[in-house]
Amino acid sequence: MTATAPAALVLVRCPCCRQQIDAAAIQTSRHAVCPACLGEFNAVRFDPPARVAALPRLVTGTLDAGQPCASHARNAAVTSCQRCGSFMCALCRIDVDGRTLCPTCFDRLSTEGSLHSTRTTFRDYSGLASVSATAGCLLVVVLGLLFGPLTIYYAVKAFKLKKEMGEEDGKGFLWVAITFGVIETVVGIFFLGALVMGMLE
Amino acid sequence: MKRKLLARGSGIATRQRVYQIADGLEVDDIDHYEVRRSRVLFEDVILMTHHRARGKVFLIVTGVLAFLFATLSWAVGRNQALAGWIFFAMSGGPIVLLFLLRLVLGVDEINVYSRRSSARMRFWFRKGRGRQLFDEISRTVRRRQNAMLRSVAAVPELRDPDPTAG
Repeated sequence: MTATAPAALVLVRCPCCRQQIDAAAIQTSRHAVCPACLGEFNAVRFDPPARVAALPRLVTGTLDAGQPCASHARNAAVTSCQRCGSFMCALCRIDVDGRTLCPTCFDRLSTEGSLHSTRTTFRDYSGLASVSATAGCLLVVVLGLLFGPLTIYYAVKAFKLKKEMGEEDGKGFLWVAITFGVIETVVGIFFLGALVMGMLE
Repeated sequence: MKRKLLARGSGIATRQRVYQIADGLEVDDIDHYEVRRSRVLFEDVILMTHHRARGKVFLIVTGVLAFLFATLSWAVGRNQALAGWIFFAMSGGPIVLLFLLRLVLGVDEINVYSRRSSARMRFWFRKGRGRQLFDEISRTVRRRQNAMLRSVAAVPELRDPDPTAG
């Protein structure tokens, strides 16, 4: 028995003309042809099966009937939630960020933003650090004292975000940004000191 | 598995980075300084395409800009030809270079469509790497989906008419 996969939610577009095409009409071929523009491209088509879970049912009236799922009384629990401890069947089980959660706890934690893998939007602190470092380089004499610390601040924020998200890439760039930030700050202090000394004299 | 940067893609208004993670591709869409992250899971992929594009809009825009700078350079260099050439080399030169590179080399594009999201990777120069990546990803997707099919076949409870019934 093969489970039918749900229909695609994303629009499949021809890579040549960007018109919407039916993915089912494209066959695996080195010379697939778009029905709309007749453009040729290399295509590989897949038929992914629907996800399923083994779902043991409770055998009532026996000693080893097991615990029922908190949400589906007829399904046997396969595990318990690591946050609230309620029993759950394979349908309710959600494995996320190395933890096993029930749907209620998953909803609560993802709403709070505690589950990093469910976060889909965040600030690009690396980009901000790079812009700040570049601006600081260009205006080091006048605004080095402003852009230097700002670069360091953004780079530190980027480091923290990468640590939270468990990302390892792009750290070398952040160290370069911090170095630039320190240089800009020192040069900025030097010029400010020179200005003050000049005014005092 | 550590996530690995596969490709960067930039359009007129978009910047995108595509990473490989353990169970799929991670796409970072950068809009100003906001990153929007989505994932294309290998188990959900329905279509992969690979083709070489020239990009009409890109060619038209760079062509028009090159023409404008050539006209300006001609105006600058009417009395002093050397000044005109220097002006053209500094202003229009890079644009002409981009136009010619795109016209001659094109850009290889890989699109990965899953049921819920999609990823696009572009390769200006490393086209061999693009082809290799296309083959690698399609092999991985095939392997994952075959493994999934086997696990589906091994689940007898699927035959239950309504497993969600409480």
